[in-house]
Amino acid sequence: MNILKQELRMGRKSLIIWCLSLAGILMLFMLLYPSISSQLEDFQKVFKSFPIEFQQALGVVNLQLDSILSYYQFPFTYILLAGAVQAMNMGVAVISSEVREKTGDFLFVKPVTRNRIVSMKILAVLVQILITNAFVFATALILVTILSTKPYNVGLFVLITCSLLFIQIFFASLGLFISAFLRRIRTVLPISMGVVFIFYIIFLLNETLKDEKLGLISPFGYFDLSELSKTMNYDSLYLLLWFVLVGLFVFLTFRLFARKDLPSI
Amino acid sequence: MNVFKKEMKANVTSLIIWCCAQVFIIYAGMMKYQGFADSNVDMSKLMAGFPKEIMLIFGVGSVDLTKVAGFYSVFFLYFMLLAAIHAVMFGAVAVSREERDHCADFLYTKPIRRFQIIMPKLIAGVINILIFNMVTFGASVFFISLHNNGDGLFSQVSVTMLALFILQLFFLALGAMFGAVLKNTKLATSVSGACILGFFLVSVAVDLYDKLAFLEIITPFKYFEGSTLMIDEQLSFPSAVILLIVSLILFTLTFFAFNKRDLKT
Repeated sequence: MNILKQELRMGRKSLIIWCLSLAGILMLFMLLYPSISSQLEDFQKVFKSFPIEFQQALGVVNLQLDSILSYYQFPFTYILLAGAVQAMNMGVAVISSEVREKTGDFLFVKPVTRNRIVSMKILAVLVQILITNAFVFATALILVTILSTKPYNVGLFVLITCSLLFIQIFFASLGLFISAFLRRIRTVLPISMGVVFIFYIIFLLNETLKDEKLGLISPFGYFDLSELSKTMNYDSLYLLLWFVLVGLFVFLTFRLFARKDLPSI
Repeated sequence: MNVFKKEMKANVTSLIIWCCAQVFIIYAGMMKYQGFADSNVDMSKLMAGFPKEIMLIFGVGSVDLTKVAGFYSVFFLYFMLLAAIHAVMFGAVAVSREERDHCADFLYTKPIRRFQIIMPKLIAGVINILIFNMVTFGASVFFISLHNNGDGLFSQVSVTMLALFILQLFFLALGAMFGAVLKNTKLATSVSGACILGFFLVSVAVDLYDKLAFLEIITPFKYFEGSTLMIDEQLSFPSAVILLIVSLILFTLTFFAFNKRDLKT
């Protein structure tokens, strides 16, 4: 319990900064909506007349531009990107910081098992992810409700917004796994930002290419927002894959960390 | 010389990983190009019928995706993002690393001036980004020639890579400046990462809403266009000059700030 409290206290400041900047990004983009909403309807007519390959290449197949949610999914892609960086940062940092800041010598000699330490730390990450999501959800709900002129599909809104939770949990568990796997991590951000952006670019690439196998690589593709608004549900295959991968990463984190040789001062 | 060698050695693993990721992205992207080429739609005729603003918003402009040069020009955005992260993190970490690892006490008491320490570090940085650039160059020409009857579009790709290198130099300087000015590595990498995300989001917002075009000046991601580089073989001269001058200023700032820095022991 003490570990959990301490972790939350240490992460408080960066959590606040992240929440505010995610809400800020969302707000800036959503406030552009009123000024371009009239143009959006014209676009739709234009896109409908394209051959199907190019509709795919531009990511506009079956695009419904007349509702606010079709615009909302666009800025939300960038929220997913930033949120993934945040989550992966936490995942990589939470365990590796003990070794990096040379506090491991004090923590790991306490009469608690390593597994307990790891589970407390994972719990701390999860709590922070949930707080971020709650904050983003509330901001998004307020923004969409204020800006929408017509009633919108609440179910779809919830689906889109909750994909942040899935993406964050995925990247946090990937980060945990990497931090247990590598011997010593000196700086967190180059790793987390590099990994997240490479996955993001693979996802962007696949938006144009629509390749099945490439789609399996990038978690951003598991919760493709434009796909979501078409089917009104998460893809069950991808959801299963997500579940298996997260489980595997967390399991391996416990496994590897329990046997890890920790460098001391 | 020793500082230089040490710096190169410290970064060799991360450089290899970055290069592999880059090669994979080029490979995966070009592999699927064939599908586009085979669709045989005359994109330019199609585009001619529609207002240009609409296409600009979706980032395709007048690019013909069925031509290999047009298809490849879409990649420039991805290269910019990855190269920027690589360069900025390198700069930030290289300058502030010694204090983080508690090696500053040993290194800075040696009978050499601080200038002679920071210089080789930055040269190592330039060599690193150059290698990254050259690998991108080689992989691009190789994979393009596979899909273009052996013609690798050598001259277009070299103009593109020159633009990329100027951007990398700018981001290296930015990272180094943060590393020298800010208190520790963690802060320097966080601020650098925030800059990249910020620049990227501004460039997205500019694409989305044309009245924000005045913001183009603050985001380096808007200084070069993939399509002008690849199709017109033109390097925007003012952009290049501005970026180089700003990089020079940032490098100078790095030296000054680092000379006055209060080193933590």
